[in-house]
Formats: sequence, structure tokens, C-alpha cells
Amino acid sequence: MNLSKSKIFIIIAFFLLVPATILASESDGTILSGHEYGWGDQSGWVNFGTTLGNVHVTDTGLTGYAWAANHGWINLNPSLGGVHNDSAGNLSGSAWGEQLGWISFANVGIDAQGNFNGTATGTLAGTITFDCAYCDTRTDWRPASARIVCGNGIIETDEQCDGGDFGGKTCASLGYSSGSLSCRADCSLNTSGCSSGDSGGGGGGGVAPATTVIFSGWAYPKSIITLLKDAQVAATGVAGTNDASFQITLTGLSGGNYTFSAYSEDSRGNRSSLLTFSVSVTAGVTTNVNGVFIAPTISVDKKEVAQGDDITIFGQSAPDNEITITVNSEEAHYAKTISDKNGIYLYNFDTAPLELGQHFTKSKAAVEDNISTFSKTIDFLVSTKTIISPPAPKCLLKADLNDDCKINLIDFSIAAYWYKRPLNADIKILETEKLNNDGKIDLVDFSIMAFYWTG
Amino acid sequence: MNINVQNTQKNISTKEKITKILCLFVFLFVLFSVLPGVAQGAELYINSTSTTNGEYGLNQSWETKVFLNSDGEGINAVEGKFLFPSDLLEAKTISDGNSVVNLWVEKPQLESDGQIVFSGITPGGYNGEQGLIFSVIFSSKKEGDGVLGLSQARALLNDGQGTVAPLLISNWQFLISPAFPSPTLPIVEDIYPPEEFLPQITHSTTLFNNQWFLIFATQDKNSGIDRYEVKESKNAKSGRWLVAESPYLLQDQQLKSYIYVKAIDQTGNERIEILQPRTPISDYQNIINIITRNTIALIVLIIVLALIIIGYFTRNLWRKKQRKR
Repeated sequence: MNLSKSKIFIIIAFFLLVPATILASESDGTILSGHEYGWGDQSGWVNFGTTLGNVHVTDTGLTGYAWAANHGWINLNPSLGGVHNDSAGNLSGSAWGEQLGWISFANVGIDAQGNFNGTATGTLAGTITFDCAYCDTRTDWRPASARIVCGNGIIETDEQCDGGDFGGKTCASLGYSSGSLSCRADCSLNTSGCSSGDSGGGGGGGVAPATTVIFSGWAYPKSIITLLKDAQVAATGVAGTNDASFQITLTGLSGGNYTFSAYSEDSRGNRSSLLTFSVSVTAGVTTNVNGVFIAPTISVDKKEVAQGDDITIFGQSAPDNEITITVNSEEAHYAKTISDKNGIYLYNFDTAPLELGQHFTKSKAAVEDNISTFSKTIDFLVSTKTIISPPAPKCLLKADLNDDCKINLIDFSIAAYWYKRPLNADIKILETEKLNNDGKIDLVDFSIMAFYWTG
Repeated sequence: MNINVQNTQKNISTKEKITKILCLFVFLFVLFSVLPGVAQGAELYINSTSTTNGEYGLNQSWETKVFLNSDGEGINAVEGKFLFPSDLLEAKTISDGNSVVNLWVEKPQLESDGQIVFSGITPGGYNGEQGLIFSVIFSSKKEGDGVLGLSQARALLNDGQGTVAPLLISNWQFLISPAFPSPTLPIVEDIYPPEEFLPQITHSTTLFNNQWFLIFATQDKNSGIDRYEVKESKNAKSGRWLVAESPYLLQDQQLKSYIYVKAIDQTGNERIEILQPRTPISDYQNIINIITRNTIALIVLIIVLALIIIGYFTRNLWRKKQRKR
């Protein structure tokens, strides 16, 4: 029976050491199959990719266990140490091996392709290398600067398009006779706006006419417009350089009442308010929605201004628009200015007529007979001193439950799960910081989410 | 903004035509009248198709709809309970087809006898006079009169704070008598599948212990969404469809499976969206999977193992007997 024990051990060891690729993403990576081994001059083979070891590489560090063939498990995240990551792939700190003691990862890095490089060292472990002739360790985690970002307007690996960047492709280059391409939310090409010609031709017979909606309007020069259909991103388009006009075509609809929304981002990365409108679409018919006028963005240069000093109110709209700025206090004040050829507007508002206290301002744009909706409303304080506005945060804090700078179905689903359930500690913190802080998830929280929605 | 329609060449769908309401018994009362000076506000109202002025024959079916009038404000969230006398009426179908509510927190459904709960949001807000929330097809069971009503209803402003809007509620009174005719409800033809959608895989420390889960949502503009089903499969032919709700905890946490999400409307039209495996499995693993999924192979394997074990013990016993001799 001694023979059986050794067989059992081999079988168990086999399953323990079967390399596996588990949860994978660029921000929460695992060790890639076929690229899991490091080599130590004193410790021998070190496997970072075992199933039970469950090694994860995140922006903050490494977790899980590596398996040293002759020396047992190495804990990458022990309570008194841990291997840290500065999010750029520069590792630091130490792992703990049950038979190898502390192993420093201060000279280990992860490059833009996810390859470990450098050496980890320890008194008992000796030197562990990750890129020798017979070893390499690789993860699908990527340094923040090397990640593929769908929505940054740049085509990266595995992307067919991104925003207004179609990689030089047009409907014509793809074999269609006319029309315009658009880019889906997952950065794949949408050719539904292309047509194969034969328009107006007779005959055919039996082919159902497409149900199409064509949106046109104005945003900001060269800005990307995101179009939502029933709260989810349906297409993006890019505004013209000279007049900031855009056109987006949606097909494949079935007909009925749709809620469409559109927003854009100005050249400083500020997002517009969400422009939402209902359209009744008839099946088999092309519906034109004209005059989709994205509201201007708005910022102020001071969060607190000494009474009598000027406060600069600025933002972006389409070029040569008449911008109406409203400052709401007990008495509403109005000012008008014209946006320049880049759509930028700026107005120095004299605060002398304003009372001490909090005030709100917003703006809207007009060109010919078209008037936009109001921008977001921002506040400032009139007092006895002046404090410059801090830089705008990269992401809105409100309602973004998963910190991806978007408020969409993911945030909704997380909140919906906790609807009418007792909250755990993690969701309690989020409810406090990002929703209405009443200790429960109810319709008010969803209403806040709906207001800040980005799709 | 101008909306116009071109090329009205052919309308394939048999659009539902709502019969004009001839007579409406409306009882208005104000709920949540926060500001005494506010005479008007958003309104939730009930409308029923009827050719008999709210009068129905026995065993007659008709459609009742709940609408939102936002009264010039943007309303981004509504909830409430729709009440009906269950001794007189049977709710045969509850549909969210063509609703202005894009995402349901609680999809309209029977919570108990005579009570349909609903709760949902319209990101960006709805601004209009006749926004359909949901519809119910009723069938009259016995003679009598009653009211279709709404209680605990709330509509919230699209102001970023979830402010409760002043809300008017309009109920609907009806009378059932064998003396009234019972015209049949026109059958609404729905040939369209639910809208295209994009399921997403994600994880969160606040949900399912940070395990991967799937989210999805879509709409059906005609009969409404009936249910969703999900299938996880390492090859296209295998796997079993399971009725699912979003968020859905994935069984394959290694993300090596194709994920199929099926939206089915109330008339059975389907829309299937497919997600590719995030971690494609190797040919070697694929072969292993095929073998392990093959029941016959598995049974054979078990038999072979059993034979080996029996053989091993038989040999030991035989050796022991040999030694004793």
C-alpha cells in the first residue's frame, strides 16, 4: 500500500500544479498558461500559475501563492509583508516562503506586455529569475499606461475602431456604395449606416425596409458624441472640426417608443449634461431627428470669490454660438457672450451685484433658430475671500459604484441586487459615499444614478 | 429638436391601435402634496381599452395601461402598487412592452392577489404627457363593480437628489355585467424579437464575493420581455439554458466558456447574444473537456478503474494465498 500512497501523492500534486488561467483582465490579471515558471538558483522551479495558488496581479500588488517544487508554498501577500505594485509594474515588498523565508521583489518589474523581469532575492531562496532560457513568467495584467481603452478615440489592439477613429476604413473601403460608419460601444465597427446602393430601385420583393433613425445636431469641435438607446450605449459619432455638427445613424430597431440620450465631452474632458428625448419609431421607416444640440459644458475659475471680484465662467459649445449664462441668486442675472472658432466661451462675471452666499450658474447655446438645453449647474460661493477652484476630478464620484468612471448597467445591477436586502459592509460604504446615505438602497438611490447616467 | 418621418413606404408591424376612450370615470386626489401652492404636478393615470364606457361583459378581456404625465418636469424614477379586485378580475398578462421605463428595479409583477408592484428608472428622465409604464390584460370573472387604482406611488425628479415630485393619481372605475356585450380583444401580432443588447461580464467587491457575474438588460417594444435565459458552454452545442436574472453569478469563474444570453418576449420571439470566452481554452483542454463531457467515456473510465482496483486486490489475495501455501 506504500506504493499507492505515493501514487495518490503524485495525482494530488499533479492537480495542485496544473497551470491555470483563471480570472483575467488588464487591471486584475492572472498568470498566463505556459508562462508560469520562474527559476531560483537555490529554490529550483517556482510555479506562479497553479490552480490552488490562485495568483492575481492587480494595480496594488500580488496575491495568492507560488509553488516552489522543493520548498513548498510562497505567500505573495503575507500579513506582515506582501509584494506591492505601484500600478506601473514596479514591484516592491516581500513574499514569505514557508521554507524559504522572506523573498524581496524590489528588483522585479512587469513590462507593458505583462512579462516579469528582474530578480527576486532572499537569504534562503537565493536569486529567482523570471526570464531565463527555460523560464518565463507572464500575466495578462498590464501597467495602467499600456492598457487598451475602448473610448479613448485611439484604435488599439483588438479594436476595430474607437470613437471617431475608424483606422482609415470607410463604407466604400468595406465594399458599400455610400453611408457612414459608426463605432459600437465595444469598439467594433458598425456598418449599419452603410448602404449597398440600389436605393430607389424597384423590384426586390420581400425584403423588409430597414427601421432607421438618423440623428443630427451639434456638439463641440472634434468631440466624440455618445448615443444611448434606452439607457445603453448604442453608437458613437464624432463632431466636425469647423461647425461641430454630427450625424449618427442607427438601424436594426424594431419600432416603438424609444428613449434616446446623447452626451459629449469637451476638449478638457468635461462631460456635458445628458440630453434625453423620446422618439416614436415606426417599423420600416426612416426617422430623422434633427437639432440634437448638446448643451455647453461649464466651469468656473473660483469656488469662492470675494464680493466685487470677477468670476470667470467658461466652457465649450459649437463655434460662433451665442452663449447665455444664467447666475441664479435671489434675483437671476444674465450675461451673453459668443463662442470662438473652437467653440470655447469665457465670460468674466462681476460679482458686485451678488449677495454673500451660495450661487448657481448654468449656460445654454443658440445658433440660428436652435437653442440647446441648459448645461449642468455648478455652484460657487460669494464671500470676503477668493479661493481658486481645484482641478476637476477625473471621474464623478456620485453613483459610480464600481469606480470605472461610468454610471451604467453595472452600477445599476450592483444596486439592484441590494434593493430591499440588508446591506453588507462594502455596499454600506458605497451607499454612504456615492448615493443618498440613508443606509438602504431604494428608489431615491436609483434616481440619483439615473441623473448621473453615462451608459 | 425636430423629429420627422421619411419614406413611409411600408409598415410591416401590425401596430397596436388603442381604441379611443369614450368615457372615463376619473377620481383625482393629490398624494404627496408637498407644496400647498402647487396645484398641478406629475400624474400617474390608468387608461383602459373599452368600447363599453368602462362597462364589461362577463369573461371579457381588455387591456389596461398605466401612464405617466411628467407635467413639464423630468421624471427619472417611478414606483408603486397597482391594485385591482381579484375576485372580479384575473390579470392574464402583465407587459412592459414599449414602456418608457428602461430599467426595472422591480419588473411589474403580481406580488399578491390583486396587487402588482412596479419600480423602475428612465436614465436622463422622461418628459412627456403619455409615457407608458406598463400594461395589463384583464379578464372579468364575475358580475360587480370596482376600481383599478394605484397606491404608495412615487415619481422622482431628474435632479440628482431623488426629490419626490408632487403626484396626482387617477384611478379607473369599471362595471361588469352579463347584460354588456363581451367583444373579443384584438390579437396583437408581435413578430419582432427583443432589442439587440450587449451583456457584460464584471466583478465587484460588493457582490458575490468579487466573483465574476453577468449583467444584461434589453427591451421588447411589442409584447414585452417575458424572461431571460443564460447558457455557459465550452463548445457551442453543449450546455443547458437556465432561467436567469441580472446580475447573474457565472458558473465558470475561469471564463473559459461561451456565454449565451437569450431574451424572450411574451409571444416567444427570441434574441440571443453571445459572449466569447475571455480565456480561450487550448486544444488539449478542449479534448479533455469533450472527453469529460462524454457520459459514455466517463462510464467506461469508471469501469476500467474499477477493474484495475478489483484486479489489484485479487492479485494481492492470490499472492497471500500463494505465500500461505
